[in-house]
Amino acid sequence: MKINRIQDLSTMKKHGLKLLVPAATRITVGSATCGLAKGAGKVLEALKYEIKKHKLTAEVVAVGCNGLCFAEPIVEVIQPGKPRITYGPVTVERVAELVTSIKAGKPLLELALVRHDEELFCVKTAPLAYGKGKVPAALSRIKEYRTHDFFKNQKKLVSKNAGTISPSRIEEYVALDGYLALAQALTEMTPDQVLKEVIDSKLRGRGGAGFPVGLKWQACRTAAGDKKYIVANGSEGDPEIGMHRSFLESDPHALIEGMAIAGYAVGADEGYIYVNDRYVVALERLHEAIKQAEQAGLLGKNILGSGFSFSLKVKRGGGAYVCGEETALLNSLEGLWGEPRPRPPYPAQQGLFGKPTVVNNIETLATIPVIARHGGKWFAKFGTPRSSGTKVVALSGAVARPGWVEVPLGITVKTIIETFGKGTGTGKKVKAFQTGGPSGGVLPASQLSIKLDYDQLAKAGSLLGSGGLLIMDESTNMLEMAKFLTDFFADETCGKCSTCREGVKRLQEIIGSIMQGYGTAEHISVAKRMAAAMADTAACALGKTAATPFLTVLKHFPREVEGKLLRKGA
Amino acid sequence: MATLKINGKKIKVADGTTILEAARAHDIEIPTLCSNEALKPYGACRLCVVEVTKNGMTTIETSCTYPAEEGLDVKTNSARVINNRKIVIELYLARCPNVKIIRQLAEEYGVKESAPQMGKDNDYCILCGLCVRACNEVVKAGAIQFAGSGINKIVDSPFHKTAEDCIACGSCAFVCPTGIIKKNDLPATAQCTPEGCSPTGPQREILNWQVEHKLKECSKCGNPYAPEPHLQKITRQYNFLPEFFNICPSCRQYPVVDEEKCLGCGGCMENCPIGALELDDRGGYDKKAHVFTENCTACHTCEDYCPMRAIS
Repeated sequence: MKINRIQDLSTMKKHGLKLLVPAATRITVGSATCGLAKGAGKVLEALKYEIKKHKLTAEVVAVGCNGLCFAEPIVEVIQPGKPRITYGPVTVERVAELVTSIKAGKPLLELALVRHDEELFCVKTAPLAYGKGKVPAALSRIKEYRTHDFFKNQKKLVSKNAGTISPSRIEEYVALDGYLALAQALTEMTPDQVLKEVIDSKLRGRGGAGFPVGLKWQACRTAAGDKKYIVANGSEGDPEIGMHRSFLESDPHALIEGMAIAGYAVGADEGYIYVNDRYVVALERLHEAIKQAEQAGLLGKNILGSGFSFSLKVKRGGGAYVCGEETALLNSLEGLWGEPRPRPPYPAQQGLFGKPTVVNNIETLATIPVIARHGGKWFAKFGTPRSSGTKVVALSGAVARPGWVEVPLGITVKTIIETFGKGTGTGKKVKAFQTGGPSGGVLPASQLSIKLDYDQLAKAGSLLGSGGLLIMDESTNMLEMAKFLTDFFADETCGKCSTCREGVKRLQEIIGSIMQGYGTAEHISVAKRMAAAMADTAACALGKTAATPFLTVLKHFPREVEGKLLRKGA
Repeated sequence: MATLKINGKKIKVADGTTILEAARAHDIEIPTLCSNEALKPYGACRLCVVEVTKNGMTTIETSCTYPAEEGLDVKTNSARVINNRKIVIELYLARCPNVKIIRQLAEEYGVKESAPQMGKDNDYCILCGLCVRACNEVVKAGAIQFAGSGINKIVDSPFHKTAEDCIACGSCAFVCPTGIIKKNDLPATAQCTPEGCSPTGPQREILNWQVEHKLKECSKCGNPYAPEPHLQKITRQYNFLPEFFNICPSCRQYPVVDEEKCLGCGGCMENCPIGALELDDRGGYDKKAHVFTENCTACHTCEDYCPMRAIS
């Protein structure tokens, strides 16, 4: 269906709502990589087989991930007039049982996780109720979405659609008010008004440095040049974080919409999405989504008759950590070595192919439709004054329930671990945690009450980064952790700057000697001296922060390092 | 034009100048290992770091890449800069303890030895990238590149095999500050196999890229003077006549016009492949051919077209 006017969107919305809340049963299977790894593909096939066997009229749909990665494979069932119920983990063996219960119209209490009486995706408009009247007694034993501890503490603005809609159906995205923000921006706002909303939102880059997005856009908008680009950074070379992947697999249209709005605000007519090549499923769904948006006329020439044109291309990156750095990413996009470029000139002045370019993280760009639709001031109400909005946090390591959650910034790390992660799961205490991926600092359990925002974490010697949260329990050897992270940098440095390349190599040798028992106090002072020079002279954030893990381990766990040192006279 | 301060001295420079260029133009010495006037700024060696104060913010930047902007306050020799440079040198010393240029720098900055705790290698390549950039940016042969990842980065020929695109011009060896790129010109020898010996001409080898190319011998003096693929590349690039490089530059003689014999017909001018000939108008019908030696490639095509044999 071609969208030529804003009214066509509401026609598509009606069609989409019929798919989301159908007259027959709808069964969804969480088929992001986290689900597929646990056998969601087989579960989907098994569901189809059982439904055929029982002669049910039901549609089985593959959707994305809703953050309950610990309970994969996740299956959701919507039956007409009844609340939506989330089940997990539904293994292939339990499928027959589930289908029988669906046929009987009774919930399978044993596997049920959450009950959704109404859909809360419409942030401002009235929620969409699934059933009418009182909840049946059988269902009241399942916790409702708004009282479920995993969901009630979250604030889903960006990830509201993830796990609910099918990523390969544009109608379902539109049904949840998708592309409405783009349509409103194009028909009712000038580019300057859109830019003002983004500045008002005080949104800061979700990739690492936390640079104000509005200022970046403004610099690009005012830069001279007729050709400008929007680049989405989905490189995500961090070892323990996969939320970009999860996001692209669950809701790729939100990124497309965000990029189109960014293009309108900045004056760009072309965008590139740089995605880690390892994200096979995400790439497939992204390509599909772009094709659908093009067919619907939401990408391409003269979108919605506004005269604004925007096209998107997907480029695959090798997944190098350094290519998450914006200038190295641009080099990689141009087919050059993934090495950071000297700055200035900044990408907003001279970026891709020498033209003014905005490089934003996938999560940042996916936040844009929310801001454009509800206003910058409304968005700035969430979070803290200097770190506004919500952030998707990927919880991994020693937690009982790994997964991702979207929380307002300013929440404490302790709350995240306790409410969402449910502790370490091994009965051991939390010993340390690391925020912001490998470049972040390793902080001790005594700092668990630290608030998750840009400034607090920077003060503590860490960073918010792309939102990774790695938990380590008491069994972790901190020196080994420091070695693991330093080894990571030794593999991932681009090797251009002498200080980063040589410094990381020497740091590796020093940690090695300490672990082998040859270390002396002199080793540590040499390491500190080198780390200071790395932070000063390295060209990009990778080199500047490559020593952070070791330095923070040294600072917060001195006994573990010093205990290994060779004693005087020994 | 931009006005900035370097070490307290007010300096005016043209737009597009880097801090390094501005400083060097005013005799302020900044050490570098990876910069070369013929190449684009790269910023790999981090030796040229300076302290830059802009809008009240002081940062350490590489002077070779940082543009000399209006109102900057640059310090090239502050304690922080010297300290950083010393550590960079120390790191280089740990990597390449036996490279002359590194040892000289270390002596200059009073760095005795790299800390023994760091560990030590004995590498001869400092990964400044000059060879790679010269080959790609200037020669445009693209024969060598960086290979390997992370701390194991090296400069290498493709797949560590013979560099197919190498023309043996020797630019890499010329720019290498450590002299690790081995370029040898070998005299004519006989290549012997069990079947028998066959004579081979003089050759140039570049050991690092596993390349061996024949050297062109001058048809006049007989001296080998340049590798054949190199000459072929220039011939293609500038549309020279195929036989142009038969003679070496030192044997090359520019055509001389015998003005007594010259009729001023212009036949030579029309047939010169690069337009290095012109007719000198001396009034009336008196015209004589004139050779611009700065353009002439001494191909002697004009000689063949002269009906009077006035050019020799």
